[in-house]
Amino acid sequence: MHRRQWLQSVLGVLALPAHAQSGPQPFAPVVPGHALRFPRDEGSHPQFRTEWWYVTGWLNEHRSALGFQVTFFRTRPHVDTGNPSRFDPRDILIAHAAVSEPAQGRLRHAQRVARVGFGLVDAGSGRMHVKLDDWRLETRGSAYAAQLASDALALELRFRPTQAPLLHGDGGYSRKGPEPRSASYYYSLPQLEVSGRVRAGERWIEGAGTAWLDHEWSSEYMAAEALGWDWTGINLYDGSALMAFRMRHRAGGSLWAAATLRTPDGGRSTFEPHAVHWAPARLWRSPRTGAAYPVAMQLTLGASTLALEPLMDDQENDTRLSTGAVYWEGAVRAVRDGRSIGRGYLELTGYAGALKM
Amino acid sequence: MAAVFPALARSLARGAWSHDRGRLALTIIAIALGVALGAAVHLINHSAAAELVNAIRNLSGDADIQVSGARTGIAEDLYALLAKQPEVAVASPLIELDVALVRPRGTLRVLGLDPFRALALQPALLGDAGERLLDLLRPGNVMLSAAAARELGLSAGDTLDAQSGLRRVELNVLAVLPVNDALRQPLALMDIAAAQWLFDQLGRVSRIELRLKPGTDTRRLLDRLAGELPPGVFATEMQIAAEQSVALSRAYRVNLNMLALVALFTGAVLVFSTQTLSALRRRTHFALLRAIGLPARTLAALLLLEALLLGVVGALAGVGLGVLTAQVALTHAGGDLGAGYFARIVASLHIDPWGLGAIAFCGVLAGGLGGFFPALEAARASPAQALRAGDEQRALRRLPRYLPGLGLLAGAAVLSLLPAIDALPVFGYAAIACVLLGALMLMPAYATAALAALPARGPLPLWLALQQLRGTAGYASISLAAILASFSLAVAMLIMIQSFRGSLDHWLQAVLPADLYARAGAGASTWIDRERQVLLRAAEPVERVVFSRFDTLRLDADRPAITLIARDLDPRAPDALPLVAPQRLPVDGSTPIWISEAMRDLFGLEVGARVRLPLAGRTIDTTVAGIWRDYVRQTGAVVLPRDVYIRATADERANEAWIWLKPRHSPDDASDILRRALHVGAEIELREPARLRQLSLAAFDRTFAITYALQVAAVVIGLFGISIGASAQAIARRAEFGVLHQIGMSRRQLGRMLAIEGGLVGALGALAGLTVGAAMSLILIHVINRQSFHWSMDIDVPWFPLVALSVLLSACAAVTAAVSVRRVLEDDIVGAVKEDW
Repeated sequence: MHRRQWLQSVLGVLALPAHAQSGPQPFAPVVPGHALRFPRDEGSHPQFRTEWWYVTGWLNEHRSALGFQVTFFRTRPHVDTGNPSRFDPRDILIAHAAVSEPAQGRLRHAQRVARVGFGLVDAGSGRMHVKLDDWRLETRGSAYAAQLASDALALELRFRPTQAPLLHGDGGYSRKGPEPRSASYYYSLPQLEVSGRVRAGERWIEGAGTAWLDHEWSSEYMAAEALGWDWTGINLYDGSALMAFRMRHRAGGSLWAAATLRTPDGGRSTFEPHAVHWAPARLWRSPRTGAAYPVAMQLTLGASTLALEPLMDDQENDTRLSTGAVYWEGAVRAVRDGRSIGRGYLELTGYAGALKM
Repeated sequence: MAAVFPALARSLARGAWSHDRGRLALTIIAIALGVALGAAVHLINHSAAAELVNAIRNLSGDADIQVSGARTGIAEDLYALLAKQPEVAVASPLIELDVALVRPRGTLRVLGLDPFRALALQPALLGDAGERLLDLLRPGNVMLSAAAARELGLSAGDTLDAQSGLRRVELNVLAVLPVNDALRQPLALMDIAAAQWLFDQLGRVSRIELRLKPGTDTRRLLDRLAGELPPGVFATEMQIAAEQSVALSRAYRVNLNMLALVALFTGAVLVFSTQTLSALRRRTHFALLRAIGLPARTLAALLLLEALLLGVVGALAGVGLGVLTAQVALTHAGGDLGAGYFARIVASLHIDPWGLGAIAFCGVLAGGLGGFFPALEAARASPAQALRAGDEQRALRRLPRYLPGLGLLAGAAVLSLLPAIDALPVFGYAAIACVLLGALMLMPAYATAALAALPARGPLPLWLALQQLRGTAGYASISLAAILASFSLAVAMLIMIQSFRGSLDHWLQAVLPADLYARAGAGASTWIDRERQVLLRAAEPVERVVFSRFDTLRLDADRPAITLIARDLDPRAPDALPLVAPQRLPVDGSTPIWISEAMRDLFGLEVGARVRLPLAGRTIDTTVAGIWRDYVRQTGAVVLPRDVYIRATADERANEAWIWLKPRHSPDDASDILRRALHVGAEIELREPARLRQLSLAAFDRTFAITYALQVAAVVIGLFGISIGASAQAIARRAEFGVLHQIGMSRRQLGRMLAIEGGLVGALGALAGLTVGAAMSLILIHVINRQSFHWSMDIDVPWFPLVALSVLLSACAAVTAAVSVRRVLEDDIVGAVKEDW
């Protein structure tokens, strides 16, 4: 219980606008026109305030299908204090992992937080190499690997890229609100071929499937008037990749929205805020927090519409039981005309908080 | 027979209990008081010690192993090394510092931790304040335990000034943490990086706590780590590490318990005298029972049962009273009984059923032992003789003779030569018990011999008194036993404490040779930096300065750390080391060290012994050049030339400076000049030796205040015994008084006769008590203190208090005897005479 509270306080950094802090802007700003380079930009960007590497995916088919999620956050809690100590908490790493098994009916998850340092906890620059003690997400040859274990679950997965990185927004400059400074650098690695094994409790499950990696860094992610966001990343069976999100306004409705769609031939289309519509199709109320999540969504991009349907309803990340920042993050199917056309993840934040009021 | 038994028991009981209600009550009270004292002292100490162990255990939560070394810490790189071990699930680095506070004044234990790691071991650590975790990472922010906030009068949002070196550091109270098991003691939490920076501890941590993965063979890991950790750094199981924190106070706690048992023992003597006299008074009753066929053995069993019953009632009442006393003391005065081992520990009552059971059992035993010999005697008496008047003396003639007593004394001599068991002077305590029991058994012989030796001259009451005492030496020996039991132990303690205090005073004068003492402040967060050392040396009033740096060292994993004193010294003539034997400097060029007596005893070292001292992760070769007396550090101390220390550790800080002044400067004006020269105010303490001596002796007196209190209790219980003996005797001798009155002795003369009898017995008892007490003080000084605390002392006899106490005791005995005879004489004396005819 208490551990969950402090995790929340660390995660809370995301919701705290940097400009609310006094003094000069201490972190690098996110500006348009900056070209992303790979693999250099797969590594850490410590001059920015927050950064995350976020892998979601599905393993196996039909009845034995399961979803998994691995996140490594890096956050810089405050301005450099000049403390020469090797323990100086310049960066904090947070790792979170969850497994969704329909048979289980709810998430299994595990989490860790630690300060960077002493070669034990590190987010390396130049290539993807993030580790928190023996939990890691790193480049291995031309592929990537995630490895972590706790009492509740374990993941040992390899991800092989099949497509080039997908840049969002304007060449990776992804706006999150009406103010241009409220933005991030953001790309995805969709259609990753994933294989390996997952332990849910005591049971090991071997499997293969497709996964999606997001990498995003920013100094000012959320606009002050934003309440939370809805996000999805879908690997379509035809090889297309779709990312869509919206920032919800505190007063209701959307504050900002965007989407990127890339077809297998490489054709990339982006959608302006007015062209992206999220419509809740079904609410699920968490018996633990009382929060109501739109676990099924109707997503309209321009002229086309698709439905997002959850692998299972209860994919709430009850990392905290007491306060409002609980979120829902789960495996979903993309359905069009009653036919499943792809699989991916849906993330819904800021719902438990709103309900608390 | 079985059916008759209860009826007989009732009859016996009625006989005694209806007449002696007051005396029975006194017996029970004596046992209850003794048990209550023992229980209270034990529970207070036990609670404080348990609290200290729990505090460490709960703070570290699930940690299995602790890795630690010197007080100034271990290299922080060990954190990475340990965290990477495959068996380690969580490694939590900690800095623990007793920090001096400038505003508000005081000290505060500061724990610098990595909250993420510490919370993995103890999730409850921050309670609701966990939401402010990121704020805690900011340098200068602290969270206070509720106990610390209360003690310092601070709340969330307040600031305080701590002292680091001679610098002030402002700290903000971010939150006051809720009271939970992990945080019951006064404590401030801050981030480890901030603690390293603000208190100049960069590169070091105090300790690292490890939680191991499930299924790890802890023993094997400890063995492996023992080979991999640098010298002076040890991995210890958490439970053992927590217990080591109270090991220092163990000998003290056991000593206090023993002292409390002494009070109980005097209670046993009281039961003995009461039961003896009660049995004598009921002799006709017993004889009748025997005459109608009650077997001797049954009678003895019944009487013993009666005594045990008194013991049980007394013990139960005592346990209740003791628990209550401990509860009240812990709530209102804390867990420290004056010695400072548990100063500022917030302790709630921890009931120790085994300890309480043992003390209660001692209470029952006291009742049983006290009643055993009287029961035996009553049962042995021949019914026909007992039915006649004047048989009391015949019964008493069979009191134990001198051989067993001498045997016990010889046993005590042998026991006092044996070494300690598990660092406790078990045989020493046994020797004291043997001396006391042996002396008690010798009392009849002593009474007879001493009374026979007294010249029988002088006025009638004196002559009569002496004749009476000679005729009833048995009675006298009972009173003597009561006096001896309470007085001898008081004498022993007085001699021991006086010797200790005298030796300490002498020692203080030897170790405080300079004109002025400078200390950077209390706590481990303060020191005199190098620049100010230079300024101090160059200051105008200063003739010479000796700087000392203190640290602790661990020489092995099982024994508590020793104190390291790195001091500026001339090896040929070190200042202020009260050597117990001439020193011998090493000729092989190795570094000379001077060890304390405690270190000699604990590590078995003598002059010339080679010692490898672990300093800053390496070892240096040293040779013991001398052994000195130290009354401060009971786990041992070693003095090392400071230049060697600085070469080995690069640590040039000093905690203390001894300052010799030029002749024309007084300490007062020098203090002002020095403060100006060093640019410091209250951060540096400047004191004269007389003041330090005064403070030390005051601390000594505080330590022994509880001892005095226990002694007073024992003497009071002893006085109870004397008065009971006197009044019982007076009642038993009603007939005799009647006859004396009939043949013309006035009540006044009778009173004077009894007063003289009482006074004589009192004086003889005091003499015996002085002798036996002196013998016991030798065991206390040379065996018990030596083995418990490892310090030697010179005998110093407090003549005046001893003589005064002896006179008081004799006077008390005389007065109680006179008072009790007056009470008897107010009754119908003629009737008393008739009773015999």
